[in-house]
Amino acid sequence: MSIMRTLLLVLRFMGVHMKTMLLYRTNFFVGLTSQIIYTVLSLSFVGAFLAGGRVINGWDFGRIIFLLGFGDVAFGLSAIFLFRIFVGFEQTYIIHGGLDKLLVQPLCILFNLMLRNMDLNQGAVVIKGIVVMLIGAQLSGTVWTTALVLLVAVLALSGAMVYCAVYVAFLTLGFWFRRRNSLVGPMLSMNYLVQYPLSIYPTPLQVFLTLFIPLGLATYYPARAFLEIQEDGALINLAWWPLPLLGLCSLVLASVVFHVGLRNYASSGT
Amino acid sequence: MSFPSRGRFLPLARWAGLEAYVQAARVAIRQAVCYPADIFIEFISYPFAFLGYFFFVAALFGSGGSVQGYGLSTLITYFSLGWVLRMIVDQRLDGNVAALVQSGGVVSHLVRPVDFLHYLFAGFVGRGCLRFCFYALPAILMLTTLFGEDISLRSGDVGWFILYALVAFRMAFELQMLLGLTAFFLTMNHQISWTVDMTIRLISGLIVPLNLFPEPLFRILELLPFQYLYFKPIQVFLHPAEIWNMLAGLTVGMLWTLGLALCNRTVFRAALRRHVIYGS
Repeated sequence: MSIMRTLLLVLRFMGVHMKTMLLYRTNFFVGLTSQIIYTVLSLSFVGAFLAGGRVINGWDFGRIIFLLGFGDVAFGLSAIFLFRIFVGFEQTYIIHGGLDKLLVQPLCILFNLMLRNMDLNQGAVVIKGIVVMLIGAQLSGTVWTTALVLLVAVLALSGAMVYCAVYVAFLTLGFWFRRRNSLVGPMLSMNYLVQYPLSIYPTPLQVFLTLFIPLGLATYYPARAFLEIQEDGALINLAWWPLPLLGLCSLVLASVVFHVGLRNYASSGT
Repeated sequence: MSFPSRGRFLPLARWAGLEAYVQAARVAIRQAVCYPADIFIEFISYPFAFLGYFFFVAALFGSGGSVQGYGLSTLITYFSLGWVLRMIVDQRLDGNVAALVQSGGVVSHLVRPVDFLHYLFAGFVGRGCLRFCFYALPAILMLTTLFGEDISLRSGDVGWFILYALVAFRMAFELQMLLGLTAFFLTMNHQISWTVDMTIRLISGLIVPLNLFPEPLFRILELLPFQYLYFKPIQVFLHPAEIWNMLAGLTVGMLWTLGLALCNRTVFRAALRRHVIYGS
């Protein structure tokens, strides 16, 4: 499939989803309000304990705010494309057999799924994340230059790729294990863990969040590389440049696993 | 899982006119244990959601220090009790009620010769017992393993804590019920439920002890009922006061709960007056 056709399809589907979103504008604003309250919740906790200039492993209040905002941007970008599939894949596409229809269409299934399930309302998370990140950067004394803007954009995209890879890996499990409930609950809960520097956790948990469910690679490591924080007790010190490569590799790997899982798909006969 | 045989406790329930509600609690438990994988998935969601708070304060105050009298041990005990309570009361009843309203399934409940709200509370109690065994007890075990040295359960006043926790349990039911009833008016209330739940977590003291907020905000939050969900029960455990103060606090909590229950009755009646169910 040519790049032009891919872009054209993405734009077409975005247009369709945008029209749907405009039909239900209240959803966007209610979603934005929810997101703001969610952030107030996180900020209150961090603020209550880090007020008065306390620092935790080199992370002060401003830097943790930056981490929170950066995490939201990476999560929001991935959620636009893949979160809706992640939530309903087993029920809609495997148990109800919705995948049958996609199998006979001349488009890569994963890409097709992504296009059909875009959720532009998640743009609210990205907007909120950018605002929070800017406040965090301001508080931690970051002076923005063009290079830094480009760097944070590349890191946010690589973080989003890691999130996408995790979603795809999780939803692929549905080919082998049919579940009544999706794994969206534990996955969203894990997001709470990567709101804070991973170095506060015991080593096994750091390993888990770096290698097995690598949400740390989506939020903590990029934010730390951007802010150039040196920590004691950190599992590894990653520079910024391997992160986009790791994001891309994890996405390719997840895609391969998805296609292996697809061979195991048994149609429900719809 | 084995259940007590009907014969053992039903005569007493029948005598008290509660037989249907005891059965409703049993059904709620049976429905929940039908899907053990769901119980497991939900259980593992909780530690991911709350461990960040524990490790954060452990990293911050591990080598000493405190904030407004809250040292590491007090904070770990505070969060342990708070999240154990949360695991018992966080039953997402609002979502279940909304689903009944949206699907029209609520009609099958309304034609039954039992009070709908009492029936739902019976299910809430049943699931609460189940969640105590399958969520709270394993969580206590896990937290004791991870932070055993910092959790101090001996000094607290368990009796008063249980009384306050019972009020919190009923209040949580009423609040979730109130949110669920909004589905009669709004149909789709999921996002609103989530937003309100987030707000309640914050203003009930689950995330941050309320007295760590700025003084004016704390004074306002003290006037609201939500502190009786987590903050008050944990406070009476951590810092037991004079018996009359604790009794007065408990009475106020009960009055708030009663007020919420009456509010739910009123909203429910209003909802039924305007609700239309199509189909056969």
